[in-house]
Amino acid sequence: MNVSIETLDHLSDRSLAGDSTAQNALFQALYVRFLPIAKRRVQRDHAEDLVQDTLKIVFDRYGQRNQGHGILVWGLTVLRNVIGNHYQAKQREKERLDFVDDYPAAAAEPANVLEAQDLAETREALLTAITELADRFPRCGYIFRALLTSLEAGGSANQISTRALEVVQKQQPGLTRGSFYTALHRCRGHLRRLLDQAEKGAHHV
Amino acid sequence: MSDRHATDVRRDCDLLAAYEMGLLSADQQSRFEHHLPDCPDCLDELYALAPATLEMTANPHPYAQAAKQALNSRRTRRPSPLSRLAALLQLRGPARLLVPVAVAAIVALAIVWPFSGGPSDVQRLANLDAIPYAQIQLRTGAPDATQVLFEDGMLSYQEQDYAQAAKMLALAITTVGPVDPVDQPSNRPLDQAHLYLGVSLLLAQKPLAAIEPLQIAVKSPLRPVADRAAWTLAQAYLASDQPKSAQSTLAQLAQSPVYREKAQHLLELIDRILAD
Repeated sequence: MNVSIETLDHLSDRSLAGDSTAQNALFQALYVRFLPIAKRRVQRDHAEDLVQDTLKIVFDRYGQRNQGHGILVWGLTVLRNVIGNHYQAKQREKERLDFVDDYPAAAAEPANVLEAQDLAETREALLTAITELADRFPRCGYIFRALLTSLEAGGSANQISTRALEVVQKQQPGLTRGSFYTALHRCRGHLRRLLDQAEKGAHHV
Repeated sequence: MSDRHATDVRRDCDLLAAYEMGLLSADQQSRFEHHLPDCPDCLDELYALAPATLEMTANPHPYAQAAKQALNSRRTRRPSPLSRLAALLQLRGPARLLVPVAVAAIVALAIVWPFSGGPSDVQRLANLDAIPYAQIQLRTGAPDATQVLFEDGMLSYQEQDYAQAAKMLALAITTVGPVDPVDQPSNRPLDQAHLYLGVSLLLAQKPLAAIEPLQIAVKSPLRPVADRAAWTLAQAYLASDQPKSAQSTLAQLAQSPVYREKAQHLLELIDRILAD
């Protein structure tokens, strides 16, 4: 299905205001984006259910999210937690079957998917990764520093973007906004690799 | 998929980081979101970093500070290797100018040659300094896709990721097709791409691969491009142990105001080695 030309955030705002057409459109838009992700991570017959579970939670709680968080990225964290819980539940079931006499029949309730289950871990990993990024790729460090400082100052998307760009242009005169976004994206790739390496390292401890 | 559509899709993907951080205009945001159902890679990327993204956008201060501290730490670290080496040698005045030359030679040795085998005397002469990057655009006439790939390649070059730079610049060149062997200026929008591709390959320890693009760039009607290409081509020949080719290339720089003396000096060194 083709998404409306509206942004998902606009649809979300209208949906929250009671517009049922917008709500349906938002549901469909998120559905077609969540399902491929779920299918790549769980068995096909579970993917549909998990996405439906995720969307139920999204529409129950999206009015309570931090308004600076885009509906799509926020919804993806919900999806991650739903999938995470799915694997945890499978693991508990497996353990229960393995130790059927010892394992409590009533396993612990799945954690609230909206809780920051791994928030402390995320923060620590991100701090380490940002530090390493700036050390190993100083231009990326400069770009992220400019962007995060501008985010801290707040404002509209254009204000934040323009402020960050102006700072980066001091080092790279003539850098266009498009090139800035491309550079940011490449630096994001470095950041992601650092986070992935840290995660692999943590699992090997 | 048409060339323009491929360029548009690629450009949409490049907006991912800006989208995550909430920087895009409504039109750009809508366009990015619209391409997502057809782009599983972008969906996976958004999914992978969703928690980190929310954390950075909700709470940017500690991460801005972490970046700032890391950058400051780099700047205030021990004195540069050049300063330390100069101090060690107790060089003063003009003699200090020898230090960068010596270090460049040492760096060239460390970068170019594997430990086993050892470089020949000719290979040791190769100078592998990166050509400074200035903000340049491809000459008008290059297709949009080529321009985007070229910019991407030069971003990698700036970041000293020469292997990636070479990959993107080679892609930029292939989007245009073979260069007309007749040197018509209007048919040469990619001389700069060939030059930086050659430099990138050389700095990525692939001197043999660097030769062909540099041979093309050498024919540029733009003097600075041609001279830089000739100088770098000579280094590629030296690094791949082809002193005769290096000599004939260096001879072309006899009229270059920038490279004349360096080329002459290098020719003398090569002559000396070949005479031994």
